[in-house]
Amino acid sequence: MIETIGTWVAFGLTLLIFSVVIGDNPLYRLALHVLIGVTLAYALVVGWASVLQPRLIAPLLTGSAVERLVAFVPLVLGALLLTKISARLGGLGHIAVAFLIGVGAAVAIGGAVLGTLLPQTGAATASLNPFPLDRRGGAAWVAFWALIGTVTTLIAFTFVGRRTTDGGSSSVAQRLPSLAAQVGRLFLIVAFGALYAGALVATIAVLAERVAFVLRTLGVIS
Amino acid sequence: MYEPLSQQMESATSAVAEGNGSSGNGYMPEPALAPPDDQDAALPEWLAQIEREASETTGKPEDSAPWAEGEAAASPQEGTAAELPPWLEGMAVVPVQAAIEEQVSEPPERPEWLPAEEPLGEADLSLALEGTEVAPPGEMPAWLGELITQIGVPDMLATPAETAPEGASEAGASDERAVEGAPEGDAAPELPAAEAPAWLSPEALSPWAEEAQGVLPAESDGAEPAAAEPGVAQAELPAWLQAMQAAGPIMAPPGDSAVSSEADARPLAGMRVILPAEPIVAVPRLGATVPGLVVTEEQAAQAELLRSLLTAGPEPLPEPLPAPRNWRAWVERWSVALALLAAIVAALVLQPGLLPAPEATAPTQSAYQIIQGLRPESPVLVAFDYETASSGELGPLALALLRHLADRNAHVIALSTRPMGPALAQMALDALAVEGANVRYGEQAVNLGYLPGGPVGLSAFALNPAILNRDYVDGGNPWAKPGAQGLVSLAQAQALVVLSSDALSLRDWVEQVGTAFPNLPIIAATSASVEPLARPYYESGQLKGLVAGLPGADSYETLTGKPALATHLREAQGFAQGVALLVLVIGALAALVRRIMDDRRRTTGDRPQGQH
Repeated sequence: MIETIGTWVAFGLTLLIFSVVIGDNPLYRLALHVLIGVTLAYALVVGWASVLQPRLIAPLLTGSAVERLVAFVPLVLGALLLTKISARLGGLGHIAVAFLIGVGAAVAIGGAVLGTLLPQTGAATASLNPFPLDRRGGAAWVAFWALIGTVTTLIAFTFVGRRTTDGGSSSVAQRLPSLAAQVGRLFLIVAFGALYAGALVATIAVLAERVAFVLRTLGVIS
Repeated sequence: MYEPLSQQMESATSAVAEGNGSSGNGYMPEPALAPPDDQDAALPEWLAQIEREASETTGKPEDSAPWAEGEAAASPQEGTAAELPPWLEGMAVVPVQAAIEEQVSEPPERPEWLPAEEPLGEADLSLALEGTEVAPPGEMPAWLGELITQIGVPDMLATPAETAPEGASEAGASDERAVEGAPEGDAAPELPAAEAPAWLSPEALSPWAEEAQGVLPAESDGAEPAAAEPGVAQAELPAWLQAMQAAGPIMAPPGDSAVSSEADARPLAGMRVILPAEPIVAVPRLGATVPGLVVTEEQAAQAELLRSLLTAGPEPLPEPLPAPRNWRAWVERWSVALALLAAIVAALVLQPGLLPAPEATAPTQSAYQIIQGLRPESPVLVAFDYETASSGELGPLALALLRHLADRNAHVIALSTRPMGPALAQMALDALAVEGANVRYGEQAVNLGYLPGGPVGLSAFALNPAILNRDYVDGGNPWAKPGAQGLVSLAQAQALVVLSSDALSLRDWVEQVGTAFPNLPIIAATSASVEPLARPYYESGQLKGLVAGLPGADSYETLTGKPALATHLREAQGFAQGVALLVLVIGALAALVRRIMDDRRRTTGDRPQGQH
């Protein structure tokens, strides 16, 4: 019964969202507000049930002495963080904020260096090696274009030019960085186009799934 | 230090009488702040005698300025000429106030500058000076000229005039500054050396007298003047500071509108000699003209525009008019929407099978091979890092992967770094359970729930998975369930599947967990919009498999031999993509044709008539 009601509520909300085709209207806004409100309420419940109650409240009330002592640390930090709402006591919250930023930055930077920067740099330089071109089934032209794209895109982000002294035409060597930068911009345009196309495809996939849901609810398809 | 005007005038009188008031540059030294008793002692005997006699005569020395009373009471016959300096012998015989009184007491000889209808009081010099005709700077009244004619200019006053190269001509102005600045400084009236003392000139005396009218009544109300109290040092509490405590206006030059603002709060309460700050700061004014600066008309117009903008202030925005209905845009929007809906509905209802199943890409095949190679009951972590907005795309992908895992009898351990993720994971597991897949909860599948903290939480989870110790479904210990018993450390996991709708979440898993366990195969199942950003991690070997979007889910279902929802949706998506491509092409062609026609029309319109 509840599942049936939930299905029809979802059906109605889907139609309200689809009503945006006639323009911005109260029904569409109602559906948006319901979506935002339900999402925030659910996140609040999850935060209580998954974080606060099992990790803070329960250890403080029923835990051992060690568990209570350990739980006391986030309690104090959380209380200090709440002081940020006061202009007079807001300075106390800097301790908790500093702790959050310090730990977060240390973990994120360490992971970025070891997990993204070094491996991606190594993979880019590996394309210079002509021997393992078929390492992943690629061809020589894939490695070639990857190399060209990497180098020229990096040049596109270097704003260094050489001005001719006589104001006339410069040599090919002098114009080479600007030409490479233009090629790099072409690669950037293609990359952004691929991202936009991916977003468009994802949106159409969501639309297709919602239409299928509506048709399934109406019994048109099984 | 400011002192009452009466005392300043008295001091100045004493200094002149003593003949030591003229310095080398023709200016008077600062008046002494000694108590009245000491000051009387410093006076010569003849002047002290004049004051005493004047006090006896008037009986009310507080009603007027002491210096005026003393001079008014003095008579030529009573002066002690033996004690006077030679140049003052004649002046002392006919002092200033005495001369005024003589002219007042003798109406036929009244000078022109005295008002005929207004009799002077006995000692009210201020009233008498109010009607005094102001002589131009540098000139002297007639009565003073007569005095000088009679007695001549004493050497003491004449000599500094010859030696003073500067300042003498500015004496009148200096006196005015001294009076105006009296409340703030210690400046005393200054004397020009070449002529009669400037403080005796009407223009210097009149403001003093006017101010004395405002001060003396206040003193007569009960507040004794500080200089009249014997034994009290004047410097302890200046009169101007006492006056600040009064609520009434003090030292307000009459008719001076520029300084007429009156402060409301102490310690400036009652003071009207306050420059208003706001008009000076906020009101823009025309700048001074710089000689030699050539201002063009354009610059002048721009300056005037800037000035008008600064002075005009913000204007309220007009009420927005209701936008007229753009029928063209309305038709375009409806056309695109109907075309997309028609394509999707047709593909879903008719299932024409016009679009062939896409061939599985190498990353998809790699992902399939990893899951296909799992041993039974292998623990596999599945991260549901997407929101409900992406469930339409990632839901079928998750079902395809979970179905394959269930076929391999793997133990699915679900978790999420998003608050909505555990619910979506449970929905997928329940959907597979309805299908009859081998995903019995607790035995083959466990939902660990929400992992907070982002990358920090992931790092902590990689070190100790037991930090997630609350089952999402029943709230019990998930690690006690058979489905999760085999996973004590992430090193024991056989694979990690990350279902992600954004590249940031996928990158966190790769950076925090992948670097900690390099041998753990990571399979990314992402949205089509994330695929370009996830591909480099696959190329670098950090991802062992990559399945993206509905086409990837369809190809994966094809690999598993179990076509399901992804296959139907993929065809509908393909039809919609075709419509979208058609709309883009038609729109681009229409825009191109319109631009060409506009250019041609503009060229035709701009061409001279003779060339038609």
